Amino acid sequence: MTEVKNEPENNPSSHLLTDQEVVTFITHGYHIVETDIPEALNQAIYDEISQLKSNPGDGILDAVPKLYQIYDHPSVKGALISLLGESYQMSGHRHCHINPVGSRSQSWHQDGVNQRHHQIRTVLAMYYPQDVSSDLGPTMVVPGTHFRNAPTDQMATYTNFRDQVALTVKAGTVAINHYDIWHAASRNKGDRTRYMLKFLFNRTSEPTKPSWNHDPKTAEIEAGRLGSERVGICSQSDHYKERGLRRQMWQHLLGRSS
Amino acid sequence: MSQPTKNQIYQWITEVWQKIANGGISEADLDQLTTIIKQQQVRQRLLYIHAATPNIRSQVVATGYHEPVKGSVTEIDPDIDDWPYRSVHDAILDGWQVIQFPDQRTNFDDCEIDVLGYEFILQKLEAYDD
Repeated sequence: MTEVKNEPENNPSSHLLTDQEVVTFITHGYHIVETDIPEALNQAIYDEISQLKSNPGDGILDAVPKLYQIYDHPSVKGALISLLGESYQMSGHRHCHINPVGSRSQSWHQDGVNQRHHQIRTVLAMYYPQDVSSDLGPTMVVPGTHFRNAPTDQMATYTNFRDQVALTVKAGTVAINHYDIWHAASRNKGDRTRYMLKFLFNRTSEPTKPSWNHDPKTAEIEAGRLGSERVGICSQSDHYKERGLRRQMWQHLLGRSS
Repeated sequence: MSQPTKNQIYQWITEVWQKIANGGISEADLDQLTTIIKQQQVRQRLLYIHAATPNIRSQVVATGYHEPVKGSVTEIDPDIDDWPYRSVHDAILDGWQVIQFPDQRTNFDDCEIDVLGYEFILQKLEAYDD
Protein backbone atom coordinates (compact mmCIF):
# COMPACT_ATOMS: atom_id res chain seq x y z
CA MET A 1 0.00 0.00 0.00
CA THR A 2 1.24 3.50 -0.79
CA GLU A 3 2.55 5.32 2.26
CA VAL A 4 0.44 8.35 3.18
CA LYS A 5 2.56 11.11 4.66
CA ASN A 6 1.18 13.42 7.29
CA GLU A 7 1.08 16.47 5.10
CA PRO A 8 -1.86 18.83 4.52
CA GLU A 9 -2.50 17.51 1.02
CA ASN A 10 -2.86 14.02 2.50
CA ASN A 11 -5.43 15.12 5.02
CA PRO A 12 -9.07 14.77 3.90
CA SER A 13 -9.90 17.99 5.73
CA SER A 14 -7.81 19.76 3.11
CA HIS A 15 -10.05 18.32 0.43
CA LEU A 16 -13.50 19.16 1.73
CA LEU A 17 -15.96 20.47 -0.81
CA THR A 18 -16.84 24.13 -1.00
CA ASP A 19 -20.35 25.54 -0.66
CA GLN A 20 -20.41 25.92 -4.43
CA GLU A 21 -19.56 22.25 -4.94
CA VAL A 22 -22.11 21.05 -2.41
CA VAL A 23 -24.83 23.19 -3.97
CA THR A 24 -23.88 21.84 -7.40
CA PHE A 25 -24.10 18.30 -6.04
CA ILE A 26 -27.58 19.10 -4.78
CA THR A 27 -28.74 20.57 -8.10
CA HIS A 28 -27.04 18.06 -10.40
CA GLY A 29 -26.79 14.90 -8.29
CA TYR A 30 -23.12 14.12 -8.91
CA HIS A 31 -19.60 15.37 -8.23
CA ILE A 32 -16.44 14.41 -10.08
CA VAL A 33 -13.27 13.84 -8.04
CA GLU A 34 -10.17 13.94 -10.22
CA THR A 35 -7.46 12.35 -8.14
CA ASP A 36 -3.69 12.29 -8.50
CA ILE A 37 -3.66 8.51 -8.20
CA PRO A 38 -0.55 7.35 -10.06
CA GLU A 39 -1.09 5.87 -13.48
CA ALA A 40 0.84 2.79 -12.37
CA LEU A 41 -1.71 2.08 -9.64
CA ASN A 42 -4.65 2.53 -12.01
CA GLN A 43 -2.99 0.21 -14.50
CA ALA A 44 -2.19 -2.37 -11.81
CA ILE A 45 -5.83 -2.41 -10.71
CA TYR A 46 -6.98 -2.69 -14.33
CA ASP A 47 -4.64 -5.63 -14.86
CA GLU A 48 -5.67 -7.41 -11.66
CA ILE A 49 -9.34 -7.12 -12.53
CA SER A 50 -8.64 -8.36 -16.05
CA GLN A 51 -7.05 -11.49 -14.62
CA LEU A 52 -10.00 -12.44 -12.39
CA LYS A 53 -11.62 -15.68 -13.50
CA SER A 54 -15.09 -14.46 -12.54
CA ASN A 55 -16.71 -11.37 -11.14
CA PRO A 56 -16.45 -11.66 -7.33
CA GLY A 57 -19.36 -9.28 -6.70
CA ASP A 58 -19.14 -7.92 -3.18
CA GLY A 59 -15.80 -9.74 -2.85
CA ILE A 60 -14.01 -7.41 -5.28
CA LEU A 61 -12.26 -5.58 -2.44
CA ASP A 62 -10.74 -8.83 -1.17
CA ALA A 63 -9.85 -9.85 -4.70
CA VAL A 64 -8.20 -6.50 -5.51
CA PRO A 65 -7.07 -4.95 -2.19
CA LYS A 66 -5.38 -2.08 -4.05
CA LEU A 67 -8.88 -0.60 -4.28
CA TYR A 68 -8.52 0.45 -0.63
CA GLN A 69 -6.03 3.04 -1.82
CA ILE A 70 -8.62 4.57 -4.12
CA TYR A 71 -11.32 4.99 -1.53
CA ASP A 72 -8.79 6.05 1.12
CA HIS A 73 -7.45 8.79 -1.13
CA PRO A 74 -7.74 12.12 0.72
CA SER A 75 -9.64 13.86 -2.07
CA VAL A 76 -12.17 11.02 -2.21
CA LYS A 77 -12.52 10.95 1.57
CA GLY A 78 -12.84 14.73 1.64
CA ALA A 79 -15.75 14.62 -0.78
CA LEU A 80 -17.43 11.75 1.09
CA ILE A 81 -17.10 13.53 4.44
CA SER A 82 -18.58 16.64 2.86
CA LEU A 83 -21.64 14.82 1.61
CA LEU A 84 -22.16 12.11 4.23
CA GLY A 85 -20.55 13.44 7.40
CA GLU A 86 -17.40 12.42 9.26
CA SER A 87 -18.81 9.05 10.30
CA TYR A 88 -19.68 7.78 6.82
CA GLN A 89 -19.18 4.07 6.19
CA MET A 90 -18.44 1.93 3.19
CA SER A 91 -21.32 -0.42 2.42
CA GLY A 92 -20.74 -4.15 2.21
CA HIS A 93 -22.31 -4.06 -1.24
CA ARG A 94 -20.14 -3.11 -4.18
CA HIS A 95 -19.72 -4.27 -7.72
CA CYS A 96 -17.21 -4.33 -10.53
CA HIS A 97 -19.09 -3.29 -13.65
CA ILE A 98 -17.54 -4.83 -16.72
CA ASN A 99 -18.37 -3.20 -20.04
CA PRO A 100 -16.83 -5.37 -22.74
CA VAL A 101 -16.07 -4.33 -26.30
CA GLY A 102 -19.20 -4.50 -28.44
CA SER A 103 -21.68 -4.22 -25.58
CA ARG A 104 -25.00 -2.45 -25.89
CA SER A 105 -26.12 0.39 -23.69
CA GLN A 106 -28.06 -0.33 -20.55
CA SER A 107 -31.53 1.08 -20.05
CA TRP A 108 -31.88 4.11 -17.82
CA HIS A 109 -32.43 3.12 -14.22
CA GLN A 110 -32.31 4.10 -10.59
CA ASP A 111 -30.66 1.64 -8.24
CA GLY A 112 -32.66 -0.15 -5.58
CA VAL A 113 -36.34 0.23 -4.95
CA ASN A 114 -38.52 3.28 -4.95
CA GLN A 115 -38.44 4.46 -1.38
CA ARG A 116 -36.86 7.79 -2.14
CA HIS A 117 -36.22 10.72 0.16
CA HIS A 118 -34.57 14.04 -0.40
CA GLN A 119 -31.45 13.71 1.69
CA ILE A 120 -27.98 12.43 0.99
CA ARG A 121 -27.95 9.10 2.78
CA THR A 122 -26.10 6.93 0.26
CA VAL A 123 -23.82 7.74 -2.65
CA LEU A 124 -22.47 5.64 -5.49
CA ALA A 125 -18.72 6.20 -5.74
CA MET A 126 -17.69 5.08 -9.21
CA TYR A 127 -13.97 4.60 -9.78
CA TYR A 128 -12.56 4.24 -13.30
CA PRO A 129 -9.12 2.57 -13.53
CA GLN A 130 -8.75 3.59 -17.19
CA ASP A 131 -9.44 6.68 -19.24
CA VAL A 132 -13.04 6.64 -20.44
CA SER A 133 -13.66 8.34 -23.77
CA SER A 134 -17.11 8.57 -25.32
CA ASP A 135 -16.22 5.46 -27.35
CA LEU A 136 -15.41 3.35 -24.32
CA GLY A 137 -18.92 3.04 -22.89
CA PRO A 138 -19.03 5.91 -20.41
CA THR A 139 -21.54 5.99 -17.59
CA MET A 140 -24.41 8.29 -18.54
CA VAL A 141 -26.34 10.39 -16.04
CA VAL A 142 -29.26 12.78 -16.28
CA PRO A 143 -28.56 15.76 -14.01
CA GLY A 144 -31.24 16.56 -11.47
CA THR A 145 -33.04 13.23 -11.70
CA HIS A 146 -32.02 12.18 -8.18
CA PHE A 147 -35.14 13.97 -6.96
CA ARG A 148 -37.40 11.89 -9.21
CA ASN A 149 -39.16 8.89 -7.79
CA ALA A 150 -39.73 6.75 -10.85
CA PRO A 151 -39.84 2.97 -11.13
CA THR A 152 -37.18 1.85 -13.57
CA ASP A 153 -39.75 0.11 -15.79
CA GLN A 154 -41.32 3.52 -16.42
CA MET A 155 -37.98 4.64 -17.87
CA ALA A 156 -37.96 1.87 -20.48
CA THR A 157 -39.10 4.12 -23.33
CA TYR A 158 -36.46 6.79 -22.81
CA THR A 159 -33.43 6.65 -25.07
CA ASN A 160 -31.49 9.89 -25.40
CA PHE A 161 -32.10 12.92 -23.21
CA ARG A 162 -31.26 16.41 -24.40
CA ASP A 163 -29.48 17.00 -21.09
CA GLN A 164 -27.78 13.66 -20.55
CA VAL A 165 -24.13 13.78 -19.54
CA ALA A 166 -21.46 11.23 -20.48
CA LEU A 167 -18.96 10.77 -17.68
CA THR A 168 -15.87 10.82 -19.87
CA VAL A 169 -13.06 10.82 -17.36
CA LYS A 170 -9.38 10.30 -16.82
CA ALA A 171 -8.10 7.14 -15.17
CA GLY A 172 -8.23 7.54 -11.41
CA THR A 173 -11.41 9.58 -11.39
CA VAL A 174 -14.08 8.84 -8.82
CA ALA A 175 -17.56 10.04 -9.77
CA ILE A 176 -19.68 10.45 -6.67
CA ASN A 177 -23.36 10.17 -7.51
CA HIS A 178 -26.46 10.56 -5.42
CA TYR A 179 -27.90 7.06 -5.02
CA ASP A 180 -31.12 8.00 -6.80
CA ILE A 181 -29.70 9.56 -9.96
CA TRP A 182 -30.87 8.11 -13.26
CA HIS A 183 -27.91 6.43 -14.92
CA ALA A 184 -26.87 3.80 -17.44
CA ALA A 185 -23.77 2.35 -19.04
CA SER A 186 -23.45 3.10 -22.73
CA ARG A 187 -22.16 0.92 -25.56
CA ASN A 188 -18.45 0.18 -25.59
CA LYS A 189 -17.34 0.97 -29.14
CA GLY A 190 -13.69 1.00 -28.16
CA ASP A 191 -10.99 -1.63 -28.30
CA ARG A 192 -10.63 -2.60 -24.65
CA THR A 193 -12.87 -3.54 -21.74
CA ARG A 194 -14.06 -0.66 -19.61
CA TYR A 195 -14.19 -1.27 -15.87
CA MET A 196 -16.08 0.77 -13.33
CA LEU A 197 -15.94 -0.03 -9.63
CA LYS A 198 -19.14 0.98 -7.94
CA PHE A 199 -18.81 1.30 -4.17
CA LEU A 200 -21.64 2.48 -1.94
CA PHE A 201 -21.08 4.77 1.03
CA ASN A 202 -23.68 5.49 3.69
CA ARG A 203 -24.38 8.26 6.14
CA THR A 204 -24.46 6.90 9.69
CA SER A 205 -25.49 9.99 11.63
CA GLU A 206 -27.81 12.91 11.10
CA PRO A 207 -26.10 16.18 10.22
CA THR A 208 -25.92 18.70 13.04
CA LYS A 209 -23.69 21.17 11.19
CA PRO A 210 -22.07 21.47 7.74
CA SER A 211 -19.41 18.81 7.21
CA TRP A 212 -17.79 20.60 4.27
CA ASN A 213 -15.75 23.77 3.89
CA HIS A 214 -18.68 25.98 4.74
CA ASP A 215 -18.58 29.75 4.74
CA PRO A 216 -21.90 31.21 5.93
CA LYS A 217 -21.21 34.49 4.13
CA THR A 218 -20.81 33.03 0.67
CA ALA A 219 -23.05 30.04 1.27
CA GLU A 220 -26.12 32.23 1.18
CA ILE A 221 -25.24 33.42 -2.31
CA GLU A 222 -24.54 29.89 -3.51
CA ALA A 223 -27.75 28.60 -1.95
CA GLY A 224 -29.61 31.12 -4.09
CA ARG A 225 -28.95 28.80 -7.03
CA LEU A 226 -31.17 26.19 -5.39
CA GLY A 227 -34.13 28.41 -6.15
CA SER A 228 -33.24 29.43 -9.65
CA GLU A 229 -30.85 27.16 -11.52
CA ARG A 230 -32.22 24.89 -14.20
CA VAL A 231 -30.10 21.83 -14.88
CA GLY A 232 -32.31 20.37 -17.57
CA ILE A 233 -35.48 20.77 -19.56
CA CYS A 234 -38.60 20.04 -17.54
CA SER A 235 -42.01 21.57 -16.98
CA GLN A 236 -42.34 24.72 -14.93
CA SER A 237 -44.40 22.91 -12.29
CA ASP A 238 -41.72 20.21 -11.94
CA HIS A 239 -39.08 22.92 -11.62
CA TYR A 240 -40.99 24.66 -8.83
CA LYS A 241 -41.24 21.37 -6.94
CA GLU A 242 -37.57 20.60 -7.66
CA ARG A 243 -36.58 23.88 -6.00
CA GLY A 244 -38.41 22.89 -2.84
CA LEU A 245 -36.76 19.47 -2.77
CA ARG A 246 -33.31 21.04 -3.20
CA ARG A 247 -33.93 23.31 -0.24
CA GLN A 248 -35.00 20.30 1.84
CA MET A 249 -31.69 18.61 1.01
CA TRP A 250 -29.68 21.75 1.79
CA GLN A 251 -31.43 22.30 5.12
CA HIS A 252 -30.83 18.68 6.06
CA LEU A 253 -27.12 18.99 5.28
CA LEU A 254 -26.90 22.15 7.35
CA GLY A 255 -28.39 20.24 10.28
CA ARG A 256 -31.52 22.33 10.34
CA SER A 257 -34.18 19.82 9.32
CA SER A 258 -36.68 18.74 11.94
CA MET B 1 -43.74 4.27 -51.47
CA SER B 2 -40.03 4.08 -51.98
CA GLN B 3 -38.43 5.92 -54.87
CA PRO B 4 -37.06 2.75 -56.57
CA THR B 5 -40.55 1.24 -56.56
CA LYS B 6 -42.05 4.43 -57.94
CA ASN B 7 -39.47 4.47 -60.70
CA GLN B 8 -40.24 0.89 -61.60
CA ILE B 9 -43.96 1.63 -61.82
CA TYR B 10 -43.38 4.72 -63.96
CA GLN B 11 -41.23 2.60 -66.25
CA TRP B 12 -43.99 -0.02 -66.41
CA ILE B 13 -46.59 2.66 -67.31
CA THR B 14 -44.37 4.02 -70.08
CA GLU B 15 -43.96 0.56 -71.54
CA VAL B 16 -47.69 -0.23 -71.25
CA TRP B 17 -48.62 2.99 -73.08
CA GLN B 18 -46.40 1.88 -75.92
CA LYS B 19 -47.98 -1.58 -75.88
CA ILE B 20 -51.49 -0.11 -75.97
CA ALA B 21 -50.50 1.97 -78.97
CA ASN B 22 -49.09 -1.16 -80.60
CA GLY B 23 -52.00 -3.47 -80.04
CA GLY B 24 -52.62 -3.89 -76.30
CA ILE B 25 -51.31 -5.36 -73.08
CA SER B 26 -51.30 -8.96 -71.89
CA GLU B 27 -51.78 -10.81 -68.60
CA ALA B 28 -48.00 -10.96 -68.33
CA ASP B 29 -47.87 -7.18 -68.10
CA LEU B 30 -50.26 -7.21 -65.14
CA ASP B 31 -48.24 -9.99 -63.47
CA GLN B 32 -45.17 -7.81 -63.83
CA LEU B 33 -46.94 -4.90 -62.10
CA THR B 34 -48.05 -7.20 -59.27
CA THR B 35 -44.48 -8.35 -58.77
CA ILE B 36 -43.21 -4.78 -58.58
CA ILE B 37 -45.77 -3.84 -55.92
CA LYS B 38 -45.14 -6.97 -53.85
CA GLN B 39 -41.45 -6.17 -53.64
CA GLN B 40 -42.10 -3.36 -51.21
CA GLN B 41 -43.40 -3.60 -47.64
CA VAL B 42 -44.91 -0.73 -45.76
CA ARG B 43 -43.60 -0.72 -42.21
CA GLN B 44 -44.03 1.44 -39.16
CA ARG B 45 -41.17 3.61 -37.94
CA LEU B 46 -41.68 4.76 -34.37
CA LEU B 47 -40.44 7.87 -32.64
CA TYR B 48 -40.88 8.35 -28.91
CA ILE B 49 -40.73 11.97 -27.89
CA HIS B 50 -40.84 13.02 -24.26
CA ALA B 51 -41.84 16.66 -24.16
CA ALA B 52 -41.71 19.08 -21.25
CA THR B 53 -45.51 19.39 -21.14
CA PRO B 54 -48.50 17.73 -22.89
CA ASN B 55 -48.47 20.62 -25.36
CA ILE B 56 -47.10 19.57 -28.77
CA ARG B 57 -45.20 22.83 -28.99
CA SER B 58 -43.31 22.35 -25.71
CA GLN B 59 -39.59 21.53 -25.67
CA VAL B 60 -38.31 18.05 -26.41
CA VAL B 61 -36.79 16.38 -23.34
CA ALA B 62 -35.85 13.03 -24.88
CA THR B 63 -36.21 11.06 -28.10
CA GLY B 64 -35.94 7.45 -29.19
CA TYR B 65 -36.19 6.11 -32.74
CA HIS B 66 -37.21 2.53 -33.47
CA GLU B 67 -36.55 1.47 -37.03
CA PRO B 68 -38.55 -1.46 -38.50
CA VAL B 69 -35.45 -3.28 -39.62
CA LYS B 70 -34.35 -6.64 -38.29
CA GLY B 71 -31.38 -6.24 -35.97
CA SER B 72 -31.84 -2.50 -35.54
CA VAL B 73 -30.76 -1.13 -32.17
CA THR B 74 -32.16 1.76 -30.16
CA GLU B 75 -29.75 2.84 -27.48
CA ILE B 76 -28.10 5.68 -25.63
CA ASP B 77 -25.55 7.59 -27.71
CA PRO B 78 -22.94 9.51 -25.69
CA ASP B 79 -22.02 11.54 -28.79
CA ILE B 80 -25.50 12.43 -29.95
CA ASP B 81 -25.67 15.90 -31.41
CA ASP B 82 -28.46 15.44 -33.92
CA TRP B 83 -31.71 16.79 -32.51
CA PRO B 84 -33.81 17.51 -35.60
CA TYR B 85 -36.95 18.37 -33.64
CA ARG B 86 -37.31 20.95 -30.91
CA SER B 87 -40.95 19.99 -30.36
CA VAL B 88 -43.53 17.38 -31.34
CA HIS B 89 -44.91 19.98 -33.72
CA ASP B 90 -41.56 20.09 -35.56
CA ALA B 91 -41.77 16.32 -36.03
CA ILE B 92 -45.32 16.59 -37.37
CA LEU B 93 -44.12 19.15 -39.92
CA ASP B 94 -41.60 16.54 -41.04
CA GLY B 95 -44.30 13.96 -41.69
CA TRP B 96 -44.50 12.12 -38.38
CA GLN B 97 -48.02 11.28 -37.19
CA VAL B 98 -48.88 11.17 -33.49
CA ILE B 99 -50.46 7.84 -32.56
CA GLN B 100 -50.43 8.28 -28.78
CA PHE B 101 -50.84 11.44 -26.78
CA PRO B 102 -49.93 11.69 -23.08
CA ASP B 103 -52.75 11.46 -20.58
CA GLN B 104 -53.23 14.87 -19.03
CA ARG B 105 -54.92 13.29 -16.02
CA THR B 106 -51.78 11.69 -14.67
CA ASN B 107 -51.21 11.13 -10.98
CA PHE B 108 -50.43 14.41 -9.32
CA ASP B 109 -48.44 15.21 -6.24
CA ASP B 110 -47.90 18.78 -5.17
CA CYS B 111 -44.40 18.19 -3.76
CA GLU B 112 -42.85 15.13 -5.39
CA ILE B 113 -41.63 14.66 -8.95
CA ASP B 114 -41.38 11.38 -10.83
CA VAL B 115 -41.01 10.62 -14.54
CA LEU B 116 -39.41 13.24 -16.74
CA GLY B 117 -41.58 14.72 -19.49
CA TYR B 118 -44.77 13.62 -21.23
CA GLU B 119 -44.65 10.77 -23.70
CA PHE B 120 -45.83 11.13 -27.30
CA ILE B 121 -45.51 8.21 -29.73
CA LEU B 122 -45.29 9.05 -33.42
CA GLN B 123 -45.12 6.94 -36.55
CA LYS B 124 -44.10 7.17 -40.17
CA LEU B 125 -45.26 4.50 -42.55
CA GLU B 126 -42.57 3.88 -45.10
CA ALA B 127 -41.91 1.26 -47.75
CA TYR B 128 -38.98 -1.09 -47.51
CA ASP B 129 -37.75 -3.06 -50.50
CA ASP B 130 -36.03 -5.95 -48.77
